[in-house]
Amino acid sequence: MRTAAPWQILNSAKSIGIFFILVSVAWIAANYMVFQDFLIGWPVILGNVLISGGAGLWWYRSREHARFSWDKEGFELQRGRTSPVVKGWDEVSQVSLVHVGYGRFAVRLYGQDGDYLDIPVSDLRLEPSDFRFEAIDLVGAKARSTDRTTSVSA
Amino acid sequence: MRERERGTPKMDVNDYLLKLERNLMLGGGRWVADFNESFWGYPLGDLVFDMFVTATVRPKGFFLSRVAAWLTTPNYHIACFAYSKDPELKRLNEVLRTISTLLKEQEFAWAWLVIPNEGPFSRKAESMVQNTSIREIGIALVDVSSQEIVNSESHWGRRMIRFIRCFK
Repeated sequence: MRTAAPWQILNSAKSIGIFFILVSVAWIAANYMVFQDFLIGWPVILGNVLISGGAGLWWYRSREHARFSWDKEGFELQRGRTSPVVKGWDEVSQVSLVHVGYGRFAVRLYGQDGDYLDIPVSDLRLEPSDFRFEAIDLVGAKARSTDRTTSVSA
Repeated sequence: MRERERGTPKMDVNDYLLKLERNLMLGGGRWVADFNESFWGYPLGDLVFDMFVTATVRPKGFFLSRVAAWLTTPNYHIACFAYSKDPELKRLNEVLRTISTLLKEQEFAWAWLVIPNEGPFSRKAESMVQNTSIREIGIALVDVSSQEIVNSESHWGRRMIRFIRCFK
């Protein structure tokens, strides 16, 4: 089974950035409520950076970090420490390449009932178009082997 | 209308479609619409299109530009089809009927149909495309060997030329 789970710099930076804004706003609001003033200086900014760095990395590792494994039979996608989505290629009916913005791509795997799952290929540093064709081949190969099994058993 | 480019290396239909897909999603196509999803080997009716790229006219952008787009731009869908299996255009009517049906059913406003081929098209095929007058479908024959493009004379047919000329 092949696995792709590189450090996703953009996602971790996004998590840290959001926490930095939240901590800054919380500090300013707390200061205003307690002292009716804003205490801002290098120690405060450094503390804010440390807190938001720690909290952002914790958030990234527990919610954002994508880990994708796949082989000829199926695939497994996990986001952070949430429970992984495990599916077989025979559950996929259609594959598409989706531009999610800013030059980043996902490969969208449609289920038989129209629902879909996005594999964040740019985050996983897989070549989007190549992985799309690999997924199409895997879905096609699985469908052919299922057809053969069905016709043999009939 | 006939357009031609010279002096670039030879390519096959797949190479061309990859470049077209990239040009629509990341290149000049963004001036027309947000081409955001691309299917290869897309079955529709009795046909299997080589490529089918869908788009919305409303751009995304970041916070303020997204709000501005939401307030000012209508959100209709468009599509670009590529079909290379019939360079003689014997099934052109069927292809156009299939696309028209999809446009009506899925409420797409208009579509482009690109017919790429590794070789010249017959004069009959060229005149069929030039004389096709479906308003909501722009059609273009693309000879990827000579990099020659023949398009229909409809508004979308004339407009598509500069977005599908992606041989480099």
